[in-house]
Amino acid sequence: MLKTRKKAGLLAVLWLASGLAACTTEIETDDIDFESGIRLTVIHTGDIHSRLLPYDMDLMATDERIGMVQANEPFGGIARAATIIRKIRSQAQHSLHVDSGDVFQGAPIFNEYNGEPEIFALNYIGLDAFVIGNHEFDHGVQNLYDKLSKAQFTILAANYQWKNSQGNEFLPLEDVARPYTVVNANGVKVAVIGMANYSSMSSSTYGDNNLGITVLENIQVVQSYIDALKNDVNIMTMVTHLGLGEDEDVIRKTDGLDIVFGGHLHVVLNPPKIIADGHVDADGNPDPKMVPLVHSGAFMKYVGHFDSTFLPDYMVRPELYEGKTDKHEWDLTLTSHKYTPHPVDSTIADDAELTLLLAPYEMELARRLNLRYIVGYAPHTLKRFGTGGNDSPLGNFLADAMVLRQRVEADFGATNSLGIRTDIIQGPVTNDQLYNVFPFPNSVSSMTLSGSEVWSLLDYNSYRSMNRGCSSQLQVSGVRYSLDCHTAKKVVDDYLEMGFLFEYQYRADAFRRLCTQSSEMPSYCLPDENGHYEYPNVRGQSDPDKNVYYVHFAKDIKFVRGSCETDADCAYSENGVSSCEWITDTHLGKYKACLEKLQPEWFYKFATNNYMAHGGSGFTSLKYNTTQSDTGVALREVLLDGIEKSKSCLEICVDEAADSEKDAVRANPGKCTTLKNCKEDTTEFETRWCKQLYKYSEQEVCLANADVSLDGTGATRCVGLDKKSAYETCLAEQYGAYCLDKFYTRDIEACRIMANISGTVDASGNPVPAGLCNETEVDSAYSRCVDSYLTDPVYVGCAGLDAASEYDKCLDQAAHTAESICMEVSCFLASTDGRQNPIKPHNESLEGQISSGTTSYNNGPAIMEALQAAGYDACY
Amino acid sequence: MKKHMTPKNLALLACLTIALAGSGCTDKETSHFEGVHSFIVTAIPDSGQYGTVDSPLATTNMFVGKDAFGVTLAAYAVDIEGNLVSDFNGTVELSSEPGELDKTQMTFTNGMVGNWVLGANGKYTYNGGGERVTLRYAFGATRIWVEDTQRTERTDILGPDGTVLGKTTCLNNKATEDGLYCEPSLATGVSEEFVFQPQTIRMIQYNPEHPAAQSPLNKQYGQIKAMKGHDLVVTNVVSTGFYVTDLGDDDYNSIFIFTFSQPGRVEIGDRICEVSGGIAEFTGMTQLQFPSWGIQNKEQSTAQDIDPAPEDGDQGVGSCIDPLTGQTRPCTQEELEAMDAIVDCSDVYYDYELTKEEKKAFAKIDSPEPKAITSSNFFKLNNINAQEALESSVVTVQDIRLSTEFIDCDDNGNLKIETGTAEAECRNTCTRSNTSCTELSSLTSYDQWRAWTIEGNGELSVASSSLISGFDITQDRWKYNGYQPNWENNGCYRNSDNVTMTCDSCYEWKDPTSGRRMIRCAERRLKRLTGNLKQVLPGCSGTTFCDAANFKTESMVMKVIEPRFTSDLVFDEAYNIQAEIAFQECRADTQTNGCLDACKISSAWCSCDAFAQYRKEYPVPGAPTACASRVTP
Repeated sequence: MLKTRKKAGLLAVLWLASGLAACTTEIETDDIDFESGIRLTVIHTGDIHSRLLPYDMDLMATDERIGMVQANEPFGGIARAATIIRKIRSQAQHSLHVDSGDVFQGAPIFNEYNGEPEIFALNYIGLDAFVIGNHEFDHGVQNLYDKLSKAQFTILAANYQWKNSQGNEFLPLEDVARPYTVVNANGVKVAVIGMANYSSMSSSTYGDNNLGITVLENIQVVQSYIDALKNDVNIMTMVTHLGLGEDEDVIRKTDGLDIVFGGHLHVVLNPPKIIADGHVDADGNPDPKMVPLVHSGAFMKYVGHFDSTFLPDYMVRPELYEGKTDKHEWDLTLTSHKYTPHPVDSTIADDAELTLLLAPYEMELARRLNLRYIVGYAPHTLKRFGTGGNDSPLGNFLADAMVLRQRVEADFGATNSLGIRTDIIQGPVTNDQLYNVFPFPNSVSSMTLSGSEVWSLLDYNSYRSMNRGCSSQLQVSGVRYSLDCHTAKKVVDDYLEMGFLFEYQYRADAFRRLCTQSSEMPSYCLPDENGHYEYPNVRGQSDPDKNVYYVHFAKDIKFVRGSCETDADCAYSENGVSSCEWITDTHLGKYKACLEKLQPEWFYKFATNNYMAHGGSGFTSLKYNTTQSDTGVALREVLLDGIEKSKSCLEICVDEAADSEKDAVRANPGKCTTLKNCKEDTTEFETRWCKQLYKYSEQEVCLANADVSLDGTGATRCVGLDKKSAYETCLAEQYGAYCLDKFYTRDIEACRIMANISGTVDASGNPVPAGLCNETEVDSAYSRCVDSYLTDPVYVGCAGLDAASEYDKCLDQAAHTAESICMEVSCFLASTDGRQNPIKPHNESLEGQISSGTTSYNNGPAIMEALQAAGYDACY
Repeated sequence: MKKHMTPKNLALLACLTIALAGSGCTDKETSHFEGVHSFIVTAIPDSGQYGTVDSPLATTNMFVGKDAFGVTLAAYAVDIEGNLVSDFNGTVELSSEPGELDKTQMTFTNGMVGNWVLGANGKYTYNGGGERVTLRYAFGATRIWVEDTQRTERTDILGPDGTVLGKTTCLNNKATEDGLYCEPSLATGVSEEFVFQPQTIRMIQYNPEHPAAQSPLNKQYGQIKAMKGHDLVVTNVVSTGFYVTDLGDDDYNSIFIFTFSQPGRVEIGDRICEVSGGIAEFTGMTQLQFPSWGIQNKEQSTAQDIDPAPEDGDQGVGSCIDPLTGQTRPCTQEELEAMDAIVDCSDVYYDYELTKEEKKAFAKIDSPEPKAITSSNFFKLNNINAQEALESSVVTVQDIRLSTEFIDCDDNGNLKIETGTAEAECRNTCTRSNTSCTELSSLTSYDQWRAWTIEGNGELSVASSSLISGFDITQDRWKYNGYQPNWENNGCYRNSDNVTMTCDSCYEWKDPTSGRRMIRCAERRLKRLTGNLKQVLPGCSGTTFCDAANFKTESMVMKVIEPRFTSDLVFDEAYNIQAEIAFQECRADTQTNGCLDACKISSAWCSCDAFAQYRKEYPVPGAPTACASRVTP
């Protein structure tokens, strides 16, 4: 039975902690007749992950089902979303906009500006409430505080106490983050309780940042705020970054929520789920109200649009009010709802003002990071998820690149699947995409593992993957094995049957108990290499408390060694350690290689990322490995190297051609289809990029801001801007504070020069502290650019500076350079090497019971018998 | 155009200090609504019955006929204070949530539809008239929406000399950006609540207008509950979800529950209390996506069961967050008990409390008898409708032969066959013109292989057989290299007696022309194959609906069978042994003397003509170049 759990003690703590008393409001209901009904419109976004600008991607079937069309690429873009949101909200009578968090991390704009444009864009859109996601902490708590301080919307985290276990508070985050907000939607008071992420907060403690946050228990927190707020608001909503299952759990176990908006898993629930809440009647029997649970996807791909109607609760549930006088017109209950996720794609016009707000960031970013630089060409899309739980082509490519990297050169490598954040789609591969694949600043670590440590690493991966549908949580290179989720699940189930919970870190105890206390020893209990189940103590006597039982969740572990033709070519084939088998390699294609069985007493050099090496994703055993060293080579760089080492597009054509054709293809590159495709795709890409990058000239940017310029002279300020950047003009005219506001985080040199020129006085005549310049890089992109500009008039890095003509130049160049780019860059293919074969939990337990009248037939022995009967004692 | 970007930026810090000091509170702006804010709606069913949870209305899937559910709608427009807006004349939009209405619009005159009488309390009471609509595909709690969604054209205000002075103001104060129209008010009212019976699987699967078309409830939220006479049982658990069958209906009674990854704690034979999720069509299959479920005597589905794309979470089994430290630790017994929201379906069926043992017994249901499909009733006929009726059900087919040829068309090894490339051509050659071929990358990626009925050559596919039953169709293959045949042992292995040899039933080589990996096996037959029937329409997903028009030919529809257990594959022992012998004999004899007639099973490799041709193109020193003309010994 579901029970609603309330704890009075906690409520008191929360009350004080949140300064709630100052926030009680009188409901002004006089001018609204609630009995005739209210329509409330909620805009829902979440997991924007710094995708402020449109991007390309291959749509999934789930996207197509919602109405996305591949032809309407590129997708996303916050300026387009703003257009949709403004239209909906301008029509709606009562509306609010909530965001489910994780606006940070996922695109280079975040790596450069640490979240500033994200917050400015959400300010512009007029967001009402925002809940803190796990990635908000990616550049530290100080950065979170700095950026959120600039927000004009309410930041929520009801379940965080900003104190560590010693009671110390690092930063006054309580001033920034509130447990809830009450939005006045044109006279309708909507409470929004914010539940920040907790599932990833525990793993954050493994990494470099201990955040000093105490995460409170969901149900108690939510119910406490519902109870505290319910008499002061019309409608009770919750916005979360908890995850789908946790959202559902909170709804089922609390009483009083009307609608829930969730995030974290990047899914669109279309239609929303409808979950029965934990309401009980006077006798304590379940009497649930149905609560819609809305998730609206990620990466600004959709704008979630939720319409709902409300009536006074006593009209909707009159049975609760029989014989009662305590009923209020303002106490509203959801009566019906509709939901539409609006695709954000190229058919939607940009919001012009927001585009201009982002233009300085976008142009500066392009100049600084050289994002359009094409590092390779992908003839086919490389997926980050494999099929059927196996590892993926992109994962293999990365793991291969890691293992093969100079200064790493390991026997095998592994990187966590979820650290790879997006697919590489077919077409030119740019710097920008490398950032999208690896937004995190991780590097490669290497260490030495014994064979048994390798086994234990892969055992843990199988165990961890078992909880995730037996879909491998590691992408490996140089090693091949089977994930035995079947055994992992059986161990967990059997142990539970004995009355214990299986905890991976106490597995030796668990295995001993399972293997010794079961009435019949389970078949997964394995002997040691000598065939012994028991481990003798120092005196050589058997000690039941010290007995070791091997149970493995990873099977058939083999390392990939040199190429071969037959088993005889493999050094250890004599004793069955090594065998010659087909494999597929990222760089070499399909060939036969020696696969060498894992030897527990041998040592292997292992390459991984420093997140895992520090114990991230639960790989705690690696954390304590004293042989590890951080190579300092960034993962993005490894990926880049891997691409550059790949074959050229022409070589791929040669490979694909028949032997007799190879020379002809080499002699005549025009015949190469891959090259031709590369040229077409690259031209198209460059053209689109030009349009995007030079959409607005500096003059247009200036003109758009002219009538609010500080001097009041309007557009005259923009005259002549076609040769100079807005910033230079700004400097020349000494509108220091304005320039500072727009440029200081990006350009320290400019900042200092400006500070000197302007006499360190801002628009209001207040002195500008020179210390502001200290936050940014010493050698500015701007000054580098100008230096180059003087010596080389067509230096591409300065492209944006005289935009009007650069667009034409850009287009011109696009057409000319595509071919040479394609001849130079590598063609980027990946393979399925290291393919893991999941052994999934299957349906054996009930088989006998269900399959009446059929018998299983094992054909092997019978065939041999028959063959022998027919006189075949050998093959021929 | 309103400009507010730069000042916002500049004034940002100042604003924030003020905003944050009093944050968490509401801003004090008051609203001024003009015109229509809402509609008071009354809906009177023909039957007079609104239904209750305990006594729900019968659902209908027809607008007309004796089952049609008729409703008389009346409404009046009110402003924000609840007063009649008598000058509202316009067409409003009607819809049913959930469900469909036969009429989508209704026109107001003087702010009303129907006759209303003003009472002493200042409220209106319905007094007759109204518009009759009929409703279908509604289930559970249902309300009819009345919405003002029409933008209205603004008229010119003319001066005395006929010049246009401007446009009339909009009643709701909202003009479109171009100034030519008034935005719709989006005033909305909903009717009284109707409570219809919960959905059954049949209601979701059966489309009365086009029996083979998509679910009439596609894109709605599905909530299926067990009821007396509608026992729900899990009939199969596969790597992406599970199948549920309603034992109360004979056809259209099964559905696939898509969980993205292997669902936890779900087993064949489990009794389902309730399963819900978004109704979706995936390549012609109706399924519930992002589902929640309750199974008798088991805890409610959790995030672990339905995690569609795990992103960051790191929770293991039995981990709890300590409310004080925020750290992960093993759960306490108390927490575990609290988590154990054990579902009890038995109250649906019994008025009295069952004992623990009774509940345990009640938790399991016998699987339904598999439905036999045969070449004459299923594969030969235009069976689109028949197939739809059996979708996701457990079916059984007799006498099948399995693929004997396999080719790896995934040249670049990216687990995908690219359309319009040599890869696609290779795949099409295998799957369209070869009735014994399976493409290898689809076998390795999806564990799906092709098979044919012996009578009538009806094609089907078998999925996930190795995961479920351990049967690997290409297992024990010979490692044979086409370039350098090893005549010494020919892929056969010497047994431990060092005299006898064991040969495998498949051999593998690299095709010298294409360089592609190929496998050929002795023909194997099944006496019977049982499993859940999936239908797959390759071109019918996403935005392309699976309407009857898309079923151009019956052969487009793939029939995929997902076995449940090892014993769902019943091999034809006698035949397979003979085929095996013939295959081995052929392999052996080919190397010495050419082919035996007996070797001419379906494999082209073993025919004499093919052998001669092959040997001519790829001569091997010391091996015979042609078939000897021989008779079977």
